[in-house]
Amino acid sequence: MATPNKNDGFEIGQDLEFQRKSWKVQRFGWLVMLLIVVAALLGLFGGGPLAHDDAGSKGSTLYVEYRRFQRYNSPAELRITVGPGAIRADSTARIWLDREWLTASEIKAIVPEPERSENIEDRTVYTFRVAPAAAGSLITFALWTRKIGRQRGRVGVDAGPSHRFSQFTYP
Amino acid sequence: MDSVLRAAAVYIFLLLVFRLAGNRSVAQITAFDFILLLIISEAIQQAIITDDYSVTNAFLVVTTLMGLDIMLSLWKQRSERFEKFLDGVPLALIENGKLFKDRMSMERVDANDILAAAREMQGLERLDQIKHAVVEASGGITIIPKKEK
Repeated sequence: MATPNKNDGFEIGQDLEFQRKSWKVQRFGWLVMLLIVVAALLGLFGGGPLAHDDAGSKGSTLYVEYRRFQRYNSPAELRITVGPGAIRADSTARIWLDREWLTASEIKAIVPEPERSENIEDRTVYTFRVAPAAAGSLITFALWTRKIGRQRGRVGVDAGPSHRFSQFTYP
Repeated sequence: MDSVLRAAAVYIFLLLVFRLAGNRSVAQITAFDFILLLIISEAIQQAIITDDYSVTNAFLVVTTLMGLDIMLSLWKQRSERFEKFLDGVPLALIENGKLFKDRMSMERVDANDILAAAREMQGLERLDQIKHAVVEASGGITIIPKKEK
C-alpha cells in the first residue's frame, strides 16, 4: 500500500520500498536488453554467424547449407551443392526434399530451374540438368517463411545420401 | 486471429520496454527523443500490419490496442498494486529543502533538471528556494516552492 507520506502535510504517494525494487528490476531489465542485442548480433534470432549451419561435407555427393534460425514472413535460403557422385548418366541430378518441410516455406525461385518436379510418396523430387563439375554444382532455393516454430527438413539425392536438418522460425 | 495476437504482443512488448526505460525517458522529450519515437513507431508498424493491408486488419489492430488500454485502466482502478507496477510511483527528490542525491542518481535526474523545472513552473532561481521536488509517476518533475517570509 502506498501510504501517503504525511510529514509536514505533504501528501505524496511515495513508496520507497517499491521504488528501490523497481530500480533493481529496471537495471536487470537493461542487462537483459543488452544480452538480447548481443545475442542478435551473434545471430541467435536469425541472420548472423550462429544462424547458419550446414550438413554433409564440402565436395561430397551432397552438401547442404541451411538457416538454423530464421524469421517468419521473411526471405530464407537453402543451398544444395551436389558433387559428381549425384550426377546420373544422362547429366541430371535428382534431388528430393521432404514435402512436409516444403509446406513451411513458399518457394520463390529455384536456381537453376529444375526440368521437372514430381511427388513421390512423402517427397518432392526435382530433376536438374547438371554438367559434372569437380567443385560440385550449386542449387539454390530462394524461400519465404510461412510457418512459425520448429521445422524438421530432409534433403537427399535420389538413391543416394540424405541429410536431416532442423530449423527454428521466430514469429 | 493473427491481427489481434500481433497487436497484443506489440502492446505488451512496448509496455515492458518503456517501463524498463524509466518514466523520465518518456516525459522529458528532446528533439532527438521525438525522432526516436517516430522510428520506433515505423519499426513496429511493419510487424503489426505485415502483408495484410486490408481495412479489416487495421480496424482489428486499433480495436485490440484500444481494448487493451481500456482493460488495463479498469484493472488499475481496482488494484493499486497493479497501478504501481504499470505506472510507477512518485518520488521526492527534495523534501523540505533536503536534497536526496542517491535517489536523483538512480532516477537519472540531476540538479539542473530540477532547476529547469523550477524555472519553468515557478520562476525560481535557486535550489534553496525549493521546498519539495517530486518526480511524478508520469515522469515530469513538479516543484513546490518555499513560502516567502
